[in-house]
Amino acid sequence: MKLEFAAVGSSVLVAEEIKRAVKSIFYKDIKIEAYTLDDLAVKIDVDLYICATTQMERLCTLVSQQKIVCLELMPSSKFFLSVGRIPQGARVYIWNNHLRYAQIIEKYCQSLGIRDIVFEPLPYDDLSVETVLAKLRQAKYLIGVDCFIDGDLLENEQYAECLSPKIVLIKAQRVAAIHSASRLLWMIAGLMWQTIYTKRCQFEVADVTSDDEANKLFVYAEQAVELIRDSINKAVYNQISPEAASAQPKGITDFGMNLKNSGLKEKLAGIDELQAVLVQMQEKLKLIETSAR
Amino acid sequence: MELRQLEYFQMVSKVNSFTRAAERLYVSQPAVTNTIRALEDELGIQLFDRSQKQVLLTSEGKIFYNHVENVLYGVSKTLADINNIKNLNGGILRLALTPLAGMRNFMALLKIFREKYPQIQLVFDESNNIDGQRAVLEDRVDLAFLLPETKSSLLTYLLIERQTLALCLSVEHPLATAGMVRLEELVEEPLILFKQDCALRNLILNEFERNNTLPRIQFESSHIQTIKSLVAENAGITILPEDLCAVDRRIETVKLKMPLYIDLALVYKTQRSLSHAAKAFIQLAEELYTEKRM
Repeated sequence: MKLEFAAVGSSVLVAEEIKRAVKSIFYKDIKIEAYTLDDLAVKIDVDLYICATTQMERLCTLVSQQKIVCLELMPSSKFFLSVGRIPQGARVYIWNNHLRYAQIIEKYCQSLGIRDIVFEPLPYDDLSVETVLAKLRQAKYLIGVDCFIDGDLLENEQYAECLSPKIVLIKAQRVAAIHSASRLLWMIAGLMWQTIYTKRCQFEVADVTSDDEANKLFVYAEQAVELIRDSINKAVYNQISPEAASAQPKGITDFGMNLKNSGLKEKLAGIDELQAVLVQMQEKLKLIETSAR
Repeated sequence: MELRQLEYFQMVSKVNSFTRAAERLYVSQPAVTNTIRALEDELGIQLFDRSQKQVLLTSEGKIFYNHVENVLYGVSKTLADINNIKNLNGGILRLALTPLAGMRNFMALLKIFREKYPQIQLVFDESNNIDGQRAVLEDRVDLAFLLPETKSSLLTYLLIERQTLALCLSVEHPLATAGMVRLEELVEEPLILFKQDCALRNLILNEFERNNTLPRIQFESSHIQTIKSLVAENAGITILPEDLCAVDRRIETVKLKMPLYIDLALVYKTQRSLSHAAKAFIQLAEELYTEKRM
């Protein structure tokens, strides 16, 4: 009953970043693989495809739209706090492949009150190599998404060699924005509910259900509720500090243990109730998605 | 990390004071101070400048504040709701109990609840009235059974039981056959009472004062069994709710001429989103007993 996901990006770097961002929402290990859009030309069947907004249109031509979730990525607090330490009046280059996201970072920094430094986007894929090199030579402060700084800057000899040894690099670890994390969890809760519902209906038809089967489904339903609840909390904490968010929450209970002595009727009633809980959670996730957008 | 840390941080930033933030959050001031310190440790920065009379955000604190505002905008209540959605077949219900909670109605309520919801684990935290109310306000427990001597406007009190107090004494005591006594007759008797901060103790002492008398307090204890054992040994007398006097054959119960009463209430935070388990407990209490909010 384990769900499978595909993290889809325009490049391996982006796909891997989406994969990491999705994994960081969950405390438990989930089944997710990174794919580029080209990889998807070969049919890959998973429960959900998770991509960046820019890839949505192309991805829709390859897989059912109902199975796609867009993930918007944002740097966490730690990045902005580091940018806030840059001395007043300094020129700060924003390293990104395209201008749009560099402008988003600049705008967000300013909205947080970081206004006394001069931001200059450095959209390296939109500029000539000479222009990029010229700007990199001058740079004392350079900020950007970690995978782009590590991959397209530091691993590019031409670029890396022209950097001043004193340059301050501030790398953003991006995490899923709350509204898109809520959307993702909303879809996951729906899938889990469907799984429980189908199995529960089978119990009705068969009329005879083994204690073991009911136990398994109850535990699955309990874990589904826990997973959704813990993950939305983690998605919020990730925005602040992904490191601090990774601490496992206290008070996780082993619900299966409590079930051992109860009858089949109680277990089935419990499963029905957990289904209702999942629906309630879905409604709340929808609320978060709309209010956080 | 917890949502609570961010909420406390927001409140301190708004009111520029740990004390005022604690008042507005209905928690203790150390709880706020410690939470903010833990958050600063987690982030590795100082969020507040504490050197001034007012607690002010540092420049990093201001950036963090704006970020937290953006992150939590419109979502914190819904998040809290999600955290409070619990299934009735599992989970833990935490109850703060006064040592005097063992009265008839409470015990009956507990028995029925356990039968109805066998999967819910009940966790009891014995505390006095003040600590119990604070535990509810600080969300350390879901519900409390207390003797509501002083009430908080932030809590709801549901009357579960009103009990008559009775004099408890050894069967060997000369007053054991009295049938009924006046409080003034007990002035010279060695009295065994609960320790300070107990609502029952305060009620008894106030009643003595009202009669312009002072009792002779011989022993104090936090444990009802110790008190009853001392009474059984004729080391003194005590006054207890009628339900709690009985059981021991060496103890006699005598009515007070001017009856005294004590109320046991189920207490919960009025504006908190309660867990399903807590709601179920309250609903059962309302069905079984009074539906009277005090």
